[in-house]
Amino acid sequence: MPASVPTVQRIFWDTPVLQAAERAMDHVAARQQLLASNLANVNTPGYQRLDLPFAGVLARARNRAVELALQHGIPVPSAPINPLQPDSRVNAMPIASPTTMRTDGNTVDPEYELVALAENELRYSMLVRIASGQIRGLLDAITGGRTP
Amino acid sequence: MGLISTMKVSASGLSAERLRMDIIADNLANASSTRSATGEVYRRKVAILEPIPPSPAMPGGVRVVGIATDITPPRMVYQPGHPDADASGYVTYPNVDIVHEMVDLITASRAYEANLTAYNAAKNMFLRTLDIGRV
Repeated sequence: MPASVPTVQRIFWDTPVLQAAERAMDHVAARQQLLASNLANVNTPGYQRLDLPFAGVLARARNRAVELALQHGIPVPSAPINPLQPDSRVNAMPIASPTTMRTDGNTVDPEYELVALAENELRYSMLVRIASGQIRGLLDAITGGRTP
Repeated sequence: MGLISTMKVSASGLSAERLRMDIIADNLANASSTRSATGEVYRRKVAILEPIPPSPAMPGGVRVVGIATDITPPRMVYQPGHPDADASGYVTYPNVDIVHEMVDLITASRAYEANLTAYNAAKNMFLRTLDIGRV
Protein backbone atom coordinates (compact mmCIF):
# COMPACT_ATOMS: atom_id res chain seq x y z
CA MET A 1 0.00 0.00 0.00
CA PRO A 2 1.48 3.40 -0.90
CA ALA A 3 2.52 5.55 2.00
CA SER A 4 0.20 8.39 1.00
CA VAL A 5 -2.98 6.36 1.60
CA PRO A 6 -4.26 7.17 5.10
CA THR A 7 -4.98 3.84 6.75
CA VAL A 8 -6.78 3.43 10.06
CA GLN A 9 -3.43 2.42 11.54
CA ARG A 10 -1.78 5.63 10.36
CA ILE A 11 -4.58 7.97 11.39
CA PHE A 12 -5.14 6.53 14.86
CA TRP A 13 -1.89 5.02 16.08
CA ASP A 14 1.08 6.24 14.05
CA THR A 15 0.72 9.80 15.26
CA PRO A 16 3.99 11.59 16.08
CA VAL A 17 2.93 12.13 19.69
CA LEU A 18 2.08 8.48 20.38
CA GLN A 19 5.24 7.28 18.64
CA ALA A 20 7.40 9.72 20.54
CA ALA A 21 5.71 8.83 23.85
CA GLU A 22 6.22 5.13 23.14
CA ARG A 23 9.92 5.60 22.41
CA ALA A 24 10.41 7.82 25.43
CA MET A 25 8.66 5.22 27.63
CA ASP A 26 11.04 2.55 26.31
CA HIS A 27 13.95 4.78 27.24
CA VAL A 28 12.59 5.49 30.73
CA ALA A 29 11.90 1.77 31.35
CA ALA A 30 15.45 0.89 30.21
CA ARG A 31 16.86 3.52 32.55
CA GLN A 32 14.74 2.17 35.41
CA GLN A 33 16.40 -1.21 34.87
CA LEU A 34 19.87 0.30 35.15
CA LEU A 35 18.98 2.30 38.28
CA ALA A 36 17.56 -0.85 39.91
CA SER A 37 20.76 -2.70 39.02
CA ASN A 38 22.87 0.11 40.49
CA LEU A 39 20.93 -0.08 43.75
CA ALA A 40 21.22 -3.89 43.81
CA ASN A 41 25.01 -3.46 43.61
CA VAL A 42 25.29 -0.70 46.20
CA ASN A 43 27.45 -3.00 48.39
CA THR A 44 29.51 -4.64 45.62
CA PRO A 45 33.11 -3.35 45.85
CA GLY A 46 34.45 -1.91 42.58
CA TYR A 47 31.04 -1.78 40.86
CA GLN A 48 30.76 0.99 38.24
CA ARG A 49 27.26 2.48 38.06
CA LEU A 50 25.54 2.50 34.65
CA ASP A 51 23.14 5.12 33.33
CA LEU A 52 21.35 6.28 30.20
CA PRO A 53 21.79 10.04 29.87
CA PHE A 54 18.43 11.45 28.72
CA ALA A 55 19.86 14.83 27.71
CA GLY A 56 22.52 13.11 25.62
CA VAL A 57 19.91 11.01 23.84
CA LEU A 58 17.85 14.10 23.13
CA ALA A 59 20.82 16.05 21.80
CA ARG A 60 21.82 13.17 19.57
CA ALA A 61 18.33 12.98 18.08
CA ARG A 62 18.27 16.72 17.51
CA ASN A 63 21.72 16.77 15.90
CA ARG A 64 20.68 13.96 13.59
CA ALA A 65 17.51 15.83 12.60
CA VAL A 66 19.43 19.04 11.94
CA GLU A 67 22.03 17.14 9.92
CA LEU A 68 19.30 15.55 7.76
CA ALA A 69 17.57 18.89 7.26
CA LEU A 70 20.81 20.56 6.14
CA GLN A 71 21.53 17.70 3.73
CA HIS A 72 18.20 18.27 2.03
CA GLY A 73 18.46 22.05 2.03
CA ILE A 74 15.60 22.48 4.50
CA PRO A 75 15.89 25.60 6.67
CA VAL A 76 16.53 24.61 10.30
CA PRO A 77 14.22 26.25 12.83
CA SER A 78 15.77 27.57 16.00
CA ALA A 79 13.47 25.40 18.18
CA PRO A 80 14.06 21.63 18.29
CA ILE A 81 12.40 19.90 15.34
CA ASN A 82 10.93 17.08 17.37
CA PRO A 83 11.84 17.47 21.02
CA LEU A 84 10.37 14.11 22.05
CA GLN A 85 12.45 11.72 20.02
CA PRO A 86 14.87 9.92 22.32
CA ASP A 87 16.49 6.76 20.98
CA SER A 88 16.08 3.84 23.41
CA ARG A 89 18.94 1.97 21.71
CA VAL A 90 21.54 4.37 23.04
CA ASN A 91 23.91 2.22 25.05
CA ALA A 92 24.20 2.26 28.80
CA MET A 93 27.49 3.79 29.89
CA PRO A 94 29.36 4.00 33.19
CA ILE A 95 28.64 7.41 34.69
CA ALA A 96 29.85 7.88 38.26
CA SER A 97 27.38 9.77 40.44
CA PRO A 98 28.74 13.28 41.04
CA THR A 99 28.39 12.94 44.81
CA THR A 100 30.15 9.62 45.38
CA MET A 101 32.99 9.59 47.94
CA ARG A 102 33.79 5.94 48.49
CA THR A 103 37.02 4.09 49.05
CA ASP A 104 35.92 0.66 47.76
CA GLY A 105 35.88 1.70 44.08
CA ASN A 106 32.07 1.56 43.91
CA THR A 107 30.59 4.62 42.16
CA VAL A 108 26.99 4.21 43.43
CA ASP A 109 25.56 6.82 45.78
CA PRO A 110 22.22 5.46 47.08
CA GLU A 111 20.67 8.92 47.62
CA TYR A 112 21.55 10.04 44.10
CA GLU A 113 20.16 6.77 42.78
CA LEU A 114 16.87 7.15 44.68
CA VAL A 115 16.39 10.70 43.40
CA ALA A 116 17.06 9.53 39.82
CA LEU A 117 14.57 6.71 40.42
CA ALA A 118 11.85 9.12 41.58
CA GLU A 119 12.56 11.45 38.65
CA ASN A 120 12.33 8.52 36.24
CA GLU A 121 9.03 7.39 37.73
CA LEU A 122 7.54 10.89 37.38
CA ARG A 123 8.78 11.10 33.81
CA TYR A 124 7.03 7.82 33.08
CA SER A 125 3.75 9.04 34.63
CA MET A 126 3.98 12.13 32.46
CA LEU A 127 4.46 10.05 29.31
CA VAL A 128 1.51 7.80 30.23
CA ARG A 129 -0.59 10.93 30.66
CA ILE A 130 0.49 12.22 27.25
CA ALA A 131 -0.39 8.91 25.58
CA SER A 132 -3.72 8.73 27.43
CA GLY A 133 -4.54 12.31 26.44
CA GLN A 134 -3.92 11.45 22.81
CA ILE A 135 -6.25 8.44 23.01
CA ARG A 136 -8.85 10.48 24.88
CA GLY A 137 -8.70 13.03 22.06
CA LEU A 138 -9.40 10.29 19.53
CA LEU A 139 -12.33 9.07 21.59
CA ASP A 140 -13.73 12.61 21.79
CA ALA A 141 -13.46 12.85 18.01
CA ILE A 142 -15.26 9.52 17.57
CA THR A 143 -18.08 10.31 19.93
CA GLY A 144 -18.34 13.98 18.96
CA GLY A 145 -17.43 15.13 22.45
CA ARG A 146 -20.28 13.26 24.14
CA THR A 147 -19.37 10.84 26.89
CA PRO A 148 -19.79 7.33 25.54
CA MET B 1 8.96 -7.41 29.50
CA GLY B 2 11.08 -4.45 30.53
CA LEU B 3 9.53 -3.55 33.85
CA ILE B 4 9.06 -7.16 35.01
CA SER B 5 12.79 -7.77 34.61
CA THR B 6 13.45 -4.50 36.46
CA MET B 7 11.55 -6.02 39.38
CA LYS B 8 13.73 -9.15 39.10
CA VAL B 9 16.84 -6.96 39.32
CA SER B 10 15.53 -5.41 42.55
CA ALA B 11 14.64 -8.88 43.84
CA SER B 12 18.27 -9.97 43.33
CA GLY B 13 19.37 -6.98 45.42
CA LEU B 14 16.81 -7.76 48.14
CA SER B 15 17.89 -11.40 48.43
CA ALA B 16 21.61 -10.52 48.43
CA GLU B 17 21.12 -7.97 51.23
CA ARG B 18 18.97 -10.40 53.21
CA LEU B 19 21.68 -13.04 52.91
CA ARG B 20 24.21 -10.48 54.20
CA MET B 21 21.93 -9.84 57.17
CA ASP B 22 21.67 -13.61 57.80
CA ILE B 23 25.47 -13.87 57.82
CA ILE B 24 25.84 -10.86 60.12
CA ALA B 25 23.27 -12.39 62.48
CA ASP B 26 25.28 -15.63 62.47
CA ASN B 27 28.49 -13.71 63.23
CA LEU B 28 26.83 -11.83 66.09
CA ALA B 29 25.24 -14.99 67.50
CA ASN B 30 28.65 -16.70 67.55
CA ALA B 31 30.66 -13.73 68.82
CA SER B 32 31.36 -15.55 72.11
CA SER B 33 31.50 -19.18 70.93
CA THR B 34 34.71 -20.76 72.20
CA ARG B 35 34.31 -24.24 70.76
CA SER B 36 32.63 -25.96 67.80
CA ALA B 37 31.95 -29.43 66.39
CA THR B 38 35.16 -29.29 64.30
CA GLY B 39 37.32 -28.24 67.22
CA GLU B 40 38.27 -24.98 65.46
CA VAL B 41 36.92 -21.75 66.92
CA TYR B 42 34.21 -19.96 64.86
CA ARG B 43 35.52 -17.58 62.21
CA ARG B 44 33.71 -14.49 60.97
CA LYS B 45 31.94 -15.05 57.63
CA VAL B 46 31.57 -12.56 54.79
CA ALA B 47 29.38 -12.68 51.67
CA ILE B 48 31.14 -12.03 48.34
CA LEU B 49 28.89 -10.05 45.98
CA GLU B 50 29.30 -9.66 42.23
CA PRO B 51 27.24 -7.88 39.53
CA ILE B 52 25.27 -10.21 37.22
CA PRO B 53 26.45 -9.68 33.62
CA PRO B 54 23.47 -8.34 31.61
CA SER B 55 21.66 -10.92 29.45
CA PRO B 56 18.22 -10.95 27.76
CA ALA B 57 16.82 -13.01 30.64
CA MET B 58 18.38 -10.92 33.42
CA PRO B 59 19.35 -7.32 32.60
CA GLY B 60 21.67 -6.85 35.56
CA GLY B 61 21.44 -7.19 39.31
CA VAL B 62 23.68 -8.71 41.95
CA ARG B 63 24.49 -12.23 43.08
CA VAL B 64 26.33 -13.83 45.96
CA VAL B 65 29.26 -15.82 44.55
CA GLY B 66 30.26 -17.32 47.86
CA ILE B 67 30.57 -17.02 51.59
CA ALA B 68 34.21 -16.65 52.68
CA THR B 69 35.76 -16.79 56.13
CA ASP B 70 37.65 -13.83 57.52
CA ILE B 71 41.34 -14.80 57.86
CA THR B 72 42.24 -12.29 60.60
CA PRO B 73 43.57 -14.07 63.74
CA PRO B 74 41.12 -14.90 66.54
CA ARG B 75 40.87 -12.78 69.68
CA MET B 76 42.92 -14.12 72.61
CA VAL B 77 41.43 -13.23 76.01
CA TYR B 78 43.16 -14.02 79.31
CA GLN B 79 40.61 -16.04 81.31
CA PRO B 80 42.46 -18.72 83.27
CA GLY B 81 39.26 -20.02 84.92
CA HIS B 82 37.50 -20.69 81.60
CA PRO B 83 37.11 -24.41 80.72
CA ASP B 84 38.40 -23.69 77.18
CA ALA B 85 41.52 -21.80 78.33
CA ASP B 86 44.86 -23.05 76.95
CA ALA B 87 47.94 -23.89 79.05
CA SER B 88 48.89 -20.22 79.46
CA GLY B 89 45.35 -19.18 80.50
CA TYR B 90 44.19 -17.66 77.19
CA VAL B 91 40.79 -18.40 75.64
CA THR B 92 40.44 -18.25 71.82
CA TYR B 93 37.41 -16.15 70.86
CA PRO B 94 36.09 -15.71 67.28
CA ASN B 95 37.49 -12.79 65.22
CA VAL B 96 34.06 -11.11 65.34
CA ASP B 97 34.02 -7.38 66.13
CA ILE B 98 30.52 -6.47 67.36
CA VAL B 99 30.81 -2.80 66.31
CA HIS B 100 31.97 -3.78 62.84
CA GLU B 101 29.05 -6.21 62.48
CA MET B 102 26.52 -3.59 63.63
CA VAL B 103 27.79 -1.10 61.03
CA ASP B 104 27.56 -3.77 58.31
CA LEU B 105 24.05 -4.60 59.53
CA ILE B 106 22.95 -0.98 59.09
CA THR B 107 24.38 -0.76 55.56
CA ALA B 108 22.67 -4.04 54.62
CA SER B 109 19.37 -2.89 56.07
CA ARG B 110 19.52 0.50 54.31
CA ALA B 111 20.47 -1.16 51.00
CA TYR B 112 17.50 -3.52 51.45
CA GLU B 113 15.18 -0.51 51.84
CA ALA B 114 16.68 1.16 48.75
CA ASN B 115 16.05 -1.99 46.69
CA LEU B 116 12.49 -2.13 48.01
CA THR B 117 11.96 1.48 46.88
CA ALA B 118 13.27 0.62 43.40
CA TYR B 119 10.96 -2.40 43.31
CA ASN B 120 7.92 -0.31 44.26
CA ALA B 121 8.82 2.33 41.65
CA ALA B 122 8.95 -0.33 38.90
CA LYS B 123 5.66 -1.80 40.13
CA ASN B 124 3.97 1.61 40.10
CA MET B 125 5.27 2.27 36.59
CA PHE B 126 3.87 -1.07 35.46
CA LEU B 127 0.48 -0.27 37.01
CA ARG B 128 0.58 3.18 35.41
CA THR B 129 1.04 1.49 32.01
CA LEU B 130 -2.26 -0.34 32.51
CA ASP B 131 -3.96 3.07 32.71
CA ILE B 132 -3.01 4.01 29.13
CA GLY B 133 -6.22 4.33 27.16
CA ARG B 134 -8.43 4.16 30.23
CA VAL B 135 -10.71 7.16 29.78
